[in-house]
Amino acid sequence: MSSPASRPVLGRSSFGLAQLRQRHPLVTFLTGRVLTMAIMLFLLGLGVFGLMSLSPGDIVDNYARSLILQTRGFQSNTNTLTDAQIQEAKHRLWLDRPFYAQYFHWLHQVFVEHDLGRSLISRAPVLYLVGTRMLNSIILNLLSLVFITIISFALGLYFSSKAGTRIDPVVAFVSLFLNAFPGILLLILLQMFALATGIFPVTAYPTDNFDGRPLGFTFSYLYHIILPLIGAFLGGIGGELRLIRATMLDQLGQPYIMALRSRGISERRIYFNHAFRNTMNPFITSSSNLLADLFSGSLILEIVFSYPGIGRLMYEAVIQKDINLVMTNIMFISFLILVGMLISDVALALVDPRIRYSNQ
Amino acid sequence: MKGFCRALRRRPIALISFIVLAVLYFGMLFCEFLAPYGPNEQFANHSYQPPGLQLYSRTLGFRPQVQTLVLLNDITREYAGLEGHYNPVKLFAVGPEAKLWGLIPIRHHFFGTDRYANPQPDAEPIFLFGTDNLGRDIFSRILYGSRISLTIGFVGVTISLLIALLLGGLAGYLGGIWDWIIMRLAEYIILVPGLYLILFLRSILSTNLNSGQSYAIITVILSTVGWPGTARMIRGMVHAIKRNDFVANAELESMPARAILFRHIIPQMASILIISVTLGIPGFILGETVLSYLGLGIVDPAVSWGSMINRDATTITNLVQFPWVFAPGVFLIVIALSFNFLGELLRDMADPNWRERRRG
Amino acid sequence: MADTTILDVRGLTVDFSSGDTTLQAVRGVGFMLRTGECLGIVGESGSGKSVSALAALGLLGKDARVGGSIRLKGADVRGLAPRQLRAFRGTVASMIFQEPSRSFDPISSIGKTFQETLRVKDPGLSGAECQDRAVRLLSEVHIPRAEERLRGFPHQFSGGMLQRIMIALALANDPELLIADEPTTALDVTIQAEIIGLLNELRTRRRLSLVFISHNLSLVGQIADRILVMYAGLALEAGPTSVVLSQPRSPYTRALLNALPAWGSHYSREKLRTISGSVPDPTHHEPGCPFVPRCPLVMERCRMGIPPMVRDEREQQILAAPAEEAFGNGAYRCIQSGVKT
Repeated sequence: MSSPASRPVLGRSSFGLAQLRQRHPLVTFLTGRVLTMAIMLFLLGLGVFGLMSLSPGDIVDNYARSLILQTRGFQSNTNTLTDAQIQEAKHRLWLDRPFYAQYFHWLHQVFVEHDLGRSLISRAPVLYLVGTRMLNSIILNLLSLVFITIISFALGLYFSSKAGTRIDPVVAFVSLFLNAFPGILLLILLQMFALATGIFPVTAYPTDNFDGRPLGFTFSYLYHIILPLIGAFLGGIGGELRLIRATMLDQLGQPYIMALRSRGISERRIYFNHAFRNTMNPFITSSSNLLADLFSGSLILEIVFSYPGIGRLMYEAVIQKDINLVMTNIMFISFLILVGMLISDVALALVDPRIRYSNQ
Repeated sequence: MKGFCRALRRRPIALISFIVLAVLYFGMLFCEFLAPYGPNEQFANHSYQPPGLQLYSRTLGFRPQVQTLVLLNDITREYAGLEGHYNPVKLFAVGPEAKLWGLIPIRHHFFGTDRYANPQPDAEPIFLFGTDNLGRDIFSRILYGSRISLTIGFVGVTISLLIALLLGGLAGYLGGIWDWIIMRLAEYIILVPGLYLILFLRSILSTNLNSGQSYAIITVILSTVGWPGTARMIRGMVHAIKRNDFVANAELESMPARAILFRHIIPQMASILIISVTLGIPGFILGETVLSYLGLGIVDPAVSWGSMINRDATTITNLVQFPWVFAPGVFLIVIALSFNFLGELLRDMADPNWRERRRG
Repeated sequence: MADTTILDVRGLTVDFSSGDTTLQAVRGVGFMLRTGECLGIVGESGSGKSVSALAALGLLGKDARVGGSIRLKGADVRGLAPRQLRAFRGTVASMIFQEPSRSFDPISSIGKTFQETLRVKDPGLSGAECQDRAVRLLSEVHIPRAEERLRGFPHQFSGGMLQRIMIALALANDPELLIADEPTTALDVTIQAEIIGLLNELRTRRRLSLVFISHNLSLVGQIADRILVMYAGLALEAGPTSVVLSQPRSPYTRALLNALPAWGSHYSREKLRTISGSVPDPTHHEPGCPFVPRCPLVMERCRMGIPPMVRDEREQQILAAPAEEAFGNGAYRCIQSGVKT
């Protein structure tokens, strides 16, 4: 395999895309990723609509009904619409067309007219519902992510230096235990603890308003989310700790560590500047998974602790068969996860030159 | 196999887990016999009764026995023991009629009081884990519920594995456009956070299902969400094996294809698949639990541990006042931990580094 | 530079213990090296050759128990504190390894790696100075366009290039001894020849002492002044290259030479002669000569105890050493070596 470094670095023959890629590897990487994700989201929406078209009849009827009611402007509160009215409304709203046509109609509604529709049950605009709840969920999950990341790194680094000693199997056991413990039951137990001891509140959202006293609200908010945060932390740290420890030990066994040592580099430098930096790659990769898991887990958390987040919104929408809301939720969540993956891809490219220069 | 037994002995946690799992699955098989009462058998005036086994009393001396309880307060459900009234607990006692596996009628159960024996129809029933709000024995319900909770894990994992083998194998073997399509599909499913996807799939299906249908639906949904992870792994393995030198070597030595398959490919994949299955079962069990907890899974009259938690453990005040209703949760925790510990042992067994260090 | 003894190893033993098993990797090996000399250590995997080299620089981990004496420029390696030991690495003695593509930190650029290495000896070096020195080192190992290369990352280079870079790094702080542990095993045959040539050149130019470890006897013959043949943790033969390769006294050495395919032979016409059997288990050494299971000359006497190293009568130099160790000046360990094969 000839060395790529022996070829001319600045290609004089190939113009355009290849040269652009060499000059600004990060930018081209980024745009490529964004494009891929836009396409993925588009196809995902198509899939969602397609799946909904497969579902048994009464769901579609509900959807039709909800769209009819919202376009009629809520004048008729009764749910009695004649078949003919439904058929005519369906035709007007493209509901008798194949699902991809409906999808394009929906896309048009969203991007051109900025109208995400209304919830069937609460009649509130979907955008408003999803927006506020989304913000709550993002705050909670980001806090959990940061919390877990920092502590698992600290603990992971510390304990991997203790590998082989007596405390090592204890750490391994505790991580496995926490990882395996069912999250939902952990949350229920935490709530029991809250009610029994009265130290922490049972619900996770303060009862007063933000606009009134912003500072007080913030403190109250933080006080309320301590227990859910602990729950998320305990649930997530087991896996992360094991990952960091395993990766560090794996790195420390690599030949390059021995090579560095043979040239007189200090153990501390080897540990932090080399082994540790090399664990960032798998850790960042797992972080995006962690974010997805956190969102998935926060759904239960929001239900157990009555936190007004997007997870609980999704649940309520499903229970109430509010199709519009369900669908929009799915799209939003996927969008969010894709953004998270994008961020982690960028971080990965920044940290690991093999990814940055993989096309050369 | 021998290696497995030896490894079990070296790690007592895994051994305990294995025994626990064996006991629980045994209990599931013979639940009609082992449970003193039926799952939906209501005992009037015995609702929210605390667990009631004691080993000693002045009246009967040293033997397992239950004290007759009297309801003091209808609101707070306070019970008091009736002085001097003790009912011995007998093995192979007569109990309500039941059919082992739905086929063999039995009248005797593993243990019970004299309640169903002719001379003493008023003997206090034995509630090892207390009762729920309808006066149903929680221990019996746990045993019957294990039929669903424990089997859904296996069934779901099996279906998921079959799908993954089929699709992952095809993707790896055929390569090209099929590989691309199947992998993109898998990526989509992985993209949407698990619980959201489950809820979405659940919502597009009718929510009015009977218990048999709901079991099937839950299994289908969980398998759909679960196959991509394993499929990606299988596809990677098939790819690697296709390219691997030893297959080429075997062909050079003109080994027949069947021998290649059985002597090389399958053993490599088998250990990884076993590990993946063992670690996947608790995920499926918990998936059903979460769905039932949300009211979207198993419904009455069928019993599963998740549905029991849904009924009794969602109201926190209930839980704190009558903590024994959390018993199915304890069982779930034990199951999840046991499978994970066992799976961890299996994973270590497959790791050559671990094996080398243990060689003696 | 005066002729000094750079490396002096006597009675080296290395044990690894994990749990209740002890692995005896090295069971009593000795050799000596002077300025500008090259010693070749030959052996199969598991013979203990790499472990001996690592022990010389104190690079074995905490689970290794090292016995015997190792003197690096007169200093007792085993007695040094970690910080003092570290001071020797790279400045007095250095090492290059088998898999060049895995011997580099994948996320550090080549230039950064050089900078780090150079600053071990001289922490005050500026970035520009490091770059200058790195460029000079790279040209010493015949890597053209050095400035560009410094910006590159390890995954962008071929194995042969990386091995040269590793040599340059090892020599960055001007050590007097270079230990090369199977440096060409993972490389193509043509690259092998280039690396050997480079090492020879560096030896002459820098008056470098070299320890070349390999399983390939003929390769070692191209570079070494003296050869030490190891098997199962013991030295079985030692002597000047010409003597060892032309008139080996140990049956093991003879078997190794036999196993080398003759120049011009074709696999279809001659079967490769391998040494039947396999290397003994290092956790359970049998008493007696370790080569007994595979030796064509074996007799009952061979099993009774490890035969001592005896001086080859053809050698004139006097060995001032206990009988079990050889100073690589012509000795072998076999009772039967007088018997004609």
